[in-house]
Amino acid sequence: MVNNATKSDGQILKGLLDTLVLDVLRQGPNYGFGIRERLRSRLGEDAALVKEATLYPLLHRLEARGLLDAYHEPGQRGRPRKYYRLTLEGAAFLEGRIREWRRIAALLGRTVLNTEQASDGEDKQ
Amino acid sequence: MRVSNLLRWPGTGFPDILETGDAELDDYLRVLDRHCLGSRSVRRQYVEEIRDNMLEARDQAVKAGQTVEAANASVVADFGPAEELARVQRQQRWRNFRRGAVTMGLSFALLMLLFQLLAGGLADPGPLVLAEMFVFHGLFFGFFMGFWFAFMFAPAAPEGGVSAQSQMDKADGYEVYSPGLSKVLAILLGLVMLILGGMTVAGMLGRGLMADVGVAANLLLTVLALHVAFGLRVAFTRIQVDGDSIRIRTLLREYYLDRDSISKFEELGRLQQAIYPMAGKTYQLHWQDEKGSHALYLGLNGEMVNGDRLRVLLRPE
Repeated sequence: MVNNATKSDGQILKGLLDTLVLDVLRQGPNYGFGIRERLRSRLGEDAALVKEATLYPLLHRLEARGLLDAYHEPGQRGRPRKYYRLTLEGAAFLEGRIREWRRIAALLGRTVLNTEQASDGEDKQ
Repeated sequence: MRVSNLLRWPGTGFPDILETGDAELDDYLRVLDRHCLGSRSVRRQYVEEIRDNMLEARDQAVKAGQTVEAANASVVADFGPAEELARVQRQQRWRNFRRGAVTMGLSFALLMLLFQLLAGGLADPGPLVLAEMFVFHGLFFGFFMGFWFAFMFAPAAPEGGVSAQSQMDKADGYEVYSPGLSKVLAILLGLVMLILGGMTVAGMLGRGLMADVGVAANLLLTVLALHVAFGLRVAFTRIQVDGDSIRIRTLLREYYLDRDSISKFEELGRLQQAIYPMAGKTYQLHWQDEKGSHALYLGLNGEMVNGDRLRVLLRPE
């Protein structure tokens, strides 16, 4: 039961990952490892959810959809490094996703979380 | 020989240059490369990205106190099965193939159909033969060009200065240019097109090999030949980026502009791309300075060193 709940949390957070990646790139262009590090520092105790196995396919999918633009620069190891940058379409998509998540958060606040608080209050009484 | 190796030609083996010296990482990268599609240079671009990020993740874990062996094992576990990462690359390549085959096959088949109609009308050689030729041209050219751009052609590797964490406004200097081989090929293809153009002009005057084709069909071929020849001038464009200063040298003119003065940079629409003679993608660049407003059609293609860097630099945020 506990395992199922944890798995379900993971699914929700994975669903958030595209928004999180786009949000990291809103701060400026970055490359795979740099994006992972920014995500991990933001996610704190949920950092383990960001696995490269998920991140790289996601970056390539976002690029194919035109939400990210990619370019190569000579890297510090002497080999080219691939950077990603948010496109205007990507920025608009991100705004839309943020609005959606806000609506969901507000809905949860009004319903499930509110009910929980109310029942907590009743329990205390 | 495995059939999939036909899509991994030329250079089916793992590029030595990608070896890290760590057996565990190299084994992973070998499996990744074996499951990717495309020529060695196409596969290398994908494997290289994974490899470099693996090495950074490994180095960070070692700095954090892990042994190299433990760090390698944890990096390999984090990246997941190499076959899964390769599946993403294969999907990309096939998507590129489908897109290229359809757009280029259809364009070529339509041009050939138009040529046939102008040369002989609908009656000669007849609608059925015209339909067969349309399908043949579409499939043949579409397959060839789709295959080339999806599985054979890799964009030029970048050169020049490294940006500070790629904050593009602080980028060190670099140049955008076509390598020598591209220039030689552009000259050769340009000469072929000019010879073809000369033959079709002679044909319009009732002379030479193209005399029997008719004026309209010869006119179409003349326009196409000149279109291709004129578009090849992009191979001689050279752009120098030094901080915020950009210097663009085309075959005929030279422009100086500041990045801050750019008011618009956008890719032309599909129809405009087809009409405007440029080998590669054409962008419209607008900027303003004390002398007034300026506009330029700028061509960029995958053969140009640092072309993708410049495209992203010029694009508004």
